[in-house]
Amino acid sequence: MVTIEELCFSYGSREVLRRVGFTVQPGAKVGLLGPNGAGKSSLLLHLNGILQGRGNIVIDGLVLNAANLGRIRQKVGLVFQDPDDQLFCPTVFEDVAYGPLYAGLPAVEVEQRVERALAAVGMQQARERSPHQLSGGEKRRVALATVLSMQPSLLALDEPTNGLDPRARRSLIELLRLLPNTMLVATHDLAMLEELLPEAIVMNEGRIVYQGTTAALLADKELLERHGLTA
Amino acid sequence: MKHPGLTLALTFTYLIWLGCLPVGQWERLAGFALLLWIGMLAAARNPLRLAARALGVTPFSVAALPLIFTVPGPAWTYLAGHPLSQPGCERFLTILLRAWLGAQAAWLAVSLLGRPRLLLALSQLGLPPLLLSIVTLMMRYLDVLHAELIRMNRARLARSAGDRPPSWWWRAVKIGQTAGCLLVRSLDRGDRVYLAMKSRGYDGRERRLSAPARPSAREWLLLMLAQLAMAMLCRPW
Amino acid sequence: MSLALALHIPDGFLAPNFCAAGWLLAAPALAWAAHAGAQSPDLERRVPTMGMLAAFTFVAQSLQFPVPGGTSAHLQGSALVALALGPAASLLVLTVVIAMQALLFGDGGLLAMGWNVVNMALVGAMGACSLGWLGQKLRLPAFAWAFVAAWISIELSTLATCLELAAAGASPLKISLAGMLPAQGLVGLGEGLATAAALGILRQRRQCSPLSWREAAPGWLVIGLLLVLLAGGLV
Ligand SMILES: Nc1ncnc2c1ncn2[C@@H]1O[C@H](COP(=O)(O)OP(=O)(O)OP(=O)(O)O)[C@@H](O)[C@H]1O
Ligand SMILES: [Mg+2]
Repeated sequence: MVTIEELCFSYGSREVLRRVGFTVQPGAKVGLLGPNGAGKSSLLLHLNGILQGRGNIVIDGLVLNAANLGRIRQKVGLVFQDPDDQLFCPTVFEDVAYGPLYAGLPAVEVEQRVERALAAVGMQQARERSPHQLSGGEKRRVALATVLSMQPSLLALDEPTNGLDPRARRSLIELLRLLPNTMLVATHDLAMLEELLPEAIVMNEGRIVYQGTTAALLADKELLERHGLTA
Repeated sequence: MKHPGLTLALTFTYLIWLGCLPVGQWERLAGFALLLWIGMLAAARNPLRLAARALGVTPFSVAALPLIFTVPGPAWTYLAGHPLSQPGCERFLTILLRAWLGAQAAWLAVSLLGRPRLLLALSQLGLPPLLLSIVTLMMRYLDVLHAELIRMNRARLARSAGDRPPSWWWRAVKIGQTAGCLLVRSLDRGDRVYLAMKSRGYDGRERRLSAPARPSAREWLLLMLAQLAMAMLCRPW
Repeated sequence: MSLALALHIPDGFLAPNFCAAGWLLAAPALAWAAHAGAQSPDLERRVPTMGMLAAFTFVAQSLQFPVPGGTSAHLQGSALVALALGPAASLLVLTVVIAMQALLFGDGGLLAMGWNVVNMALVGAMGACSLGWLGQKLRLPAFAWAFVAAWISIELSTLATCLELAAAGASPLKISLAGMLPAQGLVGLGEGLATAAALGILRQRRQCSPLSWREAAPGWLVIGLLLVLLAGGLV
């Protein structure tokens, strides 16, 4: 599903990704961990070519390059850390319709996709509301719907449970568990990792320091300690 | 009047006709006021409230005040020995009333449309797509940035000792620094929103779902009738 | 009540044909700005920035600063946006702001909007860019040229407003100049300080390119025209 080899990237002179490489199998749900500034968000931004570093990225059989960019953006649903960045339209409907619309789909199809995406996150009743009236948890759900409507094969989520109250967090996790998509989820939430994501990748200072099962990671107290994953 | 574009068009034509009204035609001006207030009642809006709100235009009218002295013409009355010219007073009063009615008409349109449908109205009246997308983003982020400003102000207050009110220029500089921080944050947010748009396929061209509902025949008729009534009232010929 | 509100001309002051003249002046300038925007290689990147800065200007206008002499005024932000974005983009941003102020808050008229765009965006913002460019050429300290550019741009806007009101027969030129220029001059002091401080913060955090002659030239044209009209009006 995702293969990354030897990916290097720097903002100006600050190196943030150093020879990153890993593979994600189709249908896998993978957690991406690491302390603040490890480079998780930067890595996710590479998956649909928003940031372009050196190295190879292959998504669903397509090599990421200028010619494939449009198709890859349809395949990768990227949800940003702050839902206020993700939801930039005047109404929920328009936001969820944005991706399909820019993919050039006909109006009827756009409409259907919005219906289905909103139903999947349980927000049909909010169609005509303005994003700024929504609560934090509702915003997260709609943000997820904005990429579900593009029917991506890979979901890349940046700290989806950040700032949610326990109930909103719980229902978001349940929701993600039911989705069949391949997932790469950057998070600091170890409890969610254990529940939702059977595999894990740990990054520190731009390098991958662990890739394997979540169970083995959580059992390795020394590793968790070393990379600042537990307090 | 339900159709957003026509509602706005009606407002604009009202303002144009009102502006064409010659100076000093009090009965006709009253006719325009009546038309507007009937419109408000028909739309279930309280004329008194909108009229009071529209008094906000009066401060600007100070700019027209000198007219009562300077327009040549027979003296109407004397103020502390200075003659007040009659045509000057008429002109001033007409300007004042027109501004007041005009502001009420604008308020009415806004209260009828509300924010999301205002955008629709603008697109139906043919606002260029570039401006439309700026307006759309602006409306969306007004509240977000406002909340950000409030948080910044709180943080600043919490850290400032502030027992003695500082001098005016120092406060202006402080306000400027707050504005500067907000500006930086706005630009950063603009960058992040750009990334979010791009990852959903944005390519610089504007796309929209086809425009909804055409105005009904009744609404067209209403617009035309209103034009007729206003033309009769105005009679600039 | 804030003094700076006095720069938005409401409807009713200017006859419809006179308003049309304002739109006729504003429209080519906007077309130029849109064209310049479309030419720039990063147009798609600038649309979200412009939307965000329009929202910023709106919100920043809720900031009040004291005016020497007791009252207070709100920040206008047109010079700030102009010096941060350059003339073309700021023209579009400020036009949107002026239009929304008229539509949402009844601040300034709908028909008179053409002239309000001329005063605040065309004269104010482009004037600020030209003055900023001059200050940079003269190698003044950044705080100084930003202050002067913002201050004078407010006076230029006021001057333009007075000229229009006089031409429309809504207010005699000498009296309105004598009343408004000093008042706005005081307001402009605060605006200038705030603008300079804000730009200082911007320059610390983000890279800003200096103004070019191409960005400054249209503003000089506008300023020149304004002074000629002023001379004509006073004689
Ligand atoms: N736009 C940018 N310009 C310059 N440096 C940046 C930029 N964005 C991020 N960085 C830097 O890159 C490094 C990695 O940032 P990144 O956002 O990828 O971290 P992260 O792992 O997502 O952290 P967090 O857990 O805090 O979200 C950090 O040191 C950060 O300061
Ligand atoms: Mg991050």
